[in-house]
Amino acid sequence: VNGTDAVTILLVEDNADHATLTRRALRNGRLLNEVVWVKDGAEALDFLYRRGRFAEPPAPRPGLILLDLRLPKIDGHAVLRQIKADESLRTIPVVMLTTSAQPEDVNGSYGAGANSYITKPVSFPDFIEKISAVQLYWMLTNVPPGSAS
Amino acid sequence: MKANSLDCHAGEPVPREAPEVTGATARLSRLLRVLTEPASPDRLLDRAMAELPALFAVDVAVVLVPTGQDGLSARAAVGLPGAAAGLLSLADAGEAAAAIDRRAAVVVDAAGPDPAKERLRELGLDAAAWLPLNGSQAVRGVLAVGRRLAPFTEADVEHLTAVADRIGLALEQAQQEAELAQALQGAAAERARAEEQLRTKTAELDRFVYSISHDLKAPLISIEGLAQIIVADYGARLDDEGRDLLERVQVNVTRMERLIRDLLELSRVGREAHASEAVDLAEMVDEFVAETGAALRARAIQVACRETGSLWGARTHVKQVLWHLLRNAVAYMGDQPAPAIEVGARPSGALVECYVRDNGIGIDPRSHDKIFEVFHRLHEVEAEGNGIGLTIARKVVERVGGHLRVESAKGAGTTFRFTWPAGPGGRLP
Repeated sequence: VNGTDAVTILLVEDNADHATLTRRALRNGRLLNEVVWVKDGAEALDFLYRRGRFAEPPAPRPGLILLDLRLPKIDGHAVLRQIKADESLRTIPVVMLTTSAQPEDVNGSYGAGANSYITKPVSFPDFIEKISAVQLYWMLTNVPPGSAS
Repeated sequence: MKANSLDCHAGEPVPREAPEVTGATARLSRLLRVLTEPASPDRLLDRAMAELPALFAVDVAVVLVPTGQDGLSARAAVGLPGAAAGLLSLADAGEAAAAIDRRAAVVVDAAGPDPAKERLRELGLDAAAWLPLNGSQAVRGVLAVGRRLAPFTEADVEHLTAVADRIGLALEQAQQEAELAQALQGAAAERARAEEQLRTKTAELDRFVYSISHDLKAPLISIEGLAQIIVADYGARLDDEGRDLLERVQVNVTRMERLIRDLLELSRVGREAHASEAVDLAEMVDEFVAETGAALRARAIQVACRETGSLWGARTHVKQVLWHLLRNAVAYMGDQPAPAIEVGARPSGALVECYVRDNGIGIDPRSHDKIFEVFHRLHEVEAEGNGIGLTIARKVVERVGGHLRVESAKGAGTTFRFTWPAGPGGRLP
């Protein structure tokens, strides 16, 4: 579909169950994205900077990052700040995906440059709907930087 | 004891002759009256010191009060500075202490024992008297007076005793007032500390409930999602019982989700600031009917707003209160054949008095306090909800300074009444 099958989605999520549900929801959107799942903030940065196990073969540049906030090692806020501070990474859309609806988390994320903020609903049909909407928007509706020429 | 420096009134000569009797009596009673007036003890003492020389033909007068360490010091004095200091030093000789101990006047003159007479002569005095300042509970000091030439008569001593007693009562009252003021100040400070502590603890508890609720949500998302995946992927391989059990898992997830959502709502009351506006009660009731229409129609419940009014506050807050009260009314309607809910508002000064009345099953007055507690539910009926709604409603009402109370009896329906600010600045006292 429109060549989107080449686009990688990086899922940063420490909860294995939530990762299962999110990947399932992403499959539901019928877009053939490759989903790479990493379990903490340090791994996420390794992936983005092609370090460690992501050095060879070099990890692809993701077209979308789904980022949880409460993460081991390096938390989501710090990962987000690093991405948005880096000239080569800042144009990758980052969607925060978390259980927290605390104003300081929401406002802090937008303040640090998050492109979108999603809270995980308990109802699984709602969960699928939200994830699909995010995926469709960022993969199909949104025009990514550098593609308009 | 050291004789403190004495701040004396000018040592002007004092008239020697006895004052005219009626004039003196009038001045004495005026002085006694003045000494009962509410004024600072220093002003009263100044007044007494100013009157004493003329009234009693004394050449010197000193008010001695106990110091912290078992001694006496002059609090006010009038007359010859040397003589006043002498009277103070004489206190060491025991007359002042004797007057305090006996709670009675001690008089020394030419008829007295030799050592005392000797000391008087050294001061240039012929007579002296020490009168205890008797308070109602304790002796507050001594009034010492000295005179040349004439001894003190019994009438003099009686009148001086009356003056000294009044001074004693005034000093006692002043001290008690000072102690009371200090105690009140201490109590106010203590109360402020306790209130601050309570605010801190409440905020801590709210944060705790908030974070716990969030932590509970994560596994719930997993349970719900994984159960749904089992239904989707393995549903065909399950028998009826297996599917029924999975459905029950999901019913429980929904119940727990509502519980967590309400706990979150409860913990948020008071933590989030919202802009205030005039909120029309009837409009809110219409909104509720539009939102809950299906549930209301299912039970044929009539909802009417009889008297509307404007509530000043955050729309979310008004909505929270009304929604919880209305949901409560719906939940406890019972099998009433003509179920009806009436909402109204009446202006009352700076406030609006609102009510939500139903003709449902009612609440036993013994339970009226309990219904506002978290997780309390009446057991008479199988009602939905989780017993947090009324707690939230009350917390919101109290947050804007209002009161929420219930009027009800078993089988007689329920009326919730709450007060709310009617306009800006209408925050209740």
